Amino acid sequence: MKSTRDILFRYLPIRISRAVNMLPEDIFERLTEIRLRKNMPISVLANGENLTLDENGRLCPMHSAIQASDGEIKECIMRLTEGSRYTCDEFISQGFIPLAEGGRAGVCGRRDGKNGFAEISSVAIRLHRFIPHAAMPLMCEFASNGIRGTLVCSPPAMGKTTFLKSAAYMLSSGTHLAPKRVCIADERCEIAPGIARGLCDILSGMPKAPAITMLTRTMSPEIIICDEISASECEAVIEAQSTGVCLIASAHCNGISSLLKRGRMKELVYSGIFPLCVTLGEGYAATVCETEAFL
Amino acid sequence: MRIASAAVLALLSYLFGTMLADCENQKIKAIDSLVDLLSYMRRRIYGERMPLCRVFAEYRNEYLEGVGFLSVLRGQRSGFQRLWNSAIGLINADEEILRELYIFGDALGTLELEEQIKRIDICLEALRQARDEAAKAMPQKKKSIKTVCLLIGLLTAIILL
Repeated sequence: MKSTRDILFRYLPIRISRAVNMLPEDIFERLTEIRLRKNMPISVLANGENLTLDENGRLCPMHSAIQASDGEIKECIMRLTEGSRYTCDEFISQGFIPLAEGGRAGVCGRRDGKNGFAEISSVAIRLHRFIPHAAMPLMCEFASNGIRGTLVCSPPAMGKTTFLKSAAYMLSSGTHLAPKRVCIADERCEIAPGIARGLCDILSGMPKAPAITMLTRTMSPEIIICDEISASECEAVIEAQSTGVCLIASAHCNGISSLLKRGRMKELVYSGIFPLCVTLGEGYAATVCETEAFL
Repeated sequence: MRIASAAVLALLSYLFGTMLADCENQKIKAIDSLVDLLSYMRRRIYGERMPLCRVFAEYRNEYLEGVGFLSVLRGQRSGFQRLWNSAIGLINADEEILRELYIFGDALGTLELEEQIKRIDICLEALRQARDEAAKAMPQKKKSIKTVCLLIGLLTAIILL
């Protein structure tokens, strides 16, 4: 698994990586995102806080923060696509570029008339850490009461993918329980890199709904793991669950109560697919609870 | 003795002319190699979306390897515009062809698939056309080079005599 510094120097233009590298160590260790904007302040996200920095890595007010030039944004895209932009057309049209180490860089800017971007003006590099035992509270719950469908809830950038990576690793390698056949529906190629070991089968780059159906039909998994489930996937998820495969998925929300306010997601929760719910807090702290308590 | 020296001088001039004419052959070989490389790139990019680092790592060509063109491009993960344009400096080709190659290199790896393929096709077309023209003019050009060199040799010999 590559370190944050490796990722930094691999994908960021030199001037910016040098500035980020010189951030105070306690902030650097907690970095989860680096955001470049064309001719606007570069910011980093550490512990849920947006921070701006100067060329020497010192935290500073926004007006004196280091800015990314047009050339630096282009260089960053070139590095992210390994100098071969055409390899990422499909991902870029969906607004992201997967990183080889897992994680992704979100992109936005001016769309062209077709399916891509005429100009990319912002890049948000998400740094995913592999914390092997982040999912330990869930494993303890599974050990006591058996493996059940689980929905991991938190706002963006709180560690949902890190938690899922850990769950995939622990379940497939038998770290805490007997090893299970785990399939990962990894639409954005974020979960799988770095954890491919144990009894883990990965279907990446395919939309989640057909991927879940395909995995259920063809790979006879015991557990399917997928990231960021949304309303459009509800039907496929409900269909897949009729086969009894356990699903561990994540969703953007503040908790189950806020999810219940969203039509199709509410349907999904009420369908009983996710008897367990995990909410994530600061520092990847996970709380496991029964979904039933919210219904 | 003088006549013998003059004959040697004329012969050496002719041989020099032959060498120069062979250089022209090398230019055609360079274009052929580049056409082969671009056709390979097109196949691998269009068919497999293969990243450039792998395209250059897997491509084999005696001429391009011999002049160090491929060594410049291999072992790198990005920045192929700059690398391509550095590698072009190692190619023995006419200015017009070099210009086409630099234009191609300026956008290499920065474009979406459709546009990247279009650029390859444009460059391929230009190279093939240049190759045909060069091949057509080659016999006459070689003959002229050899003749001019021989004449210069003879003239020098006459002056020395």
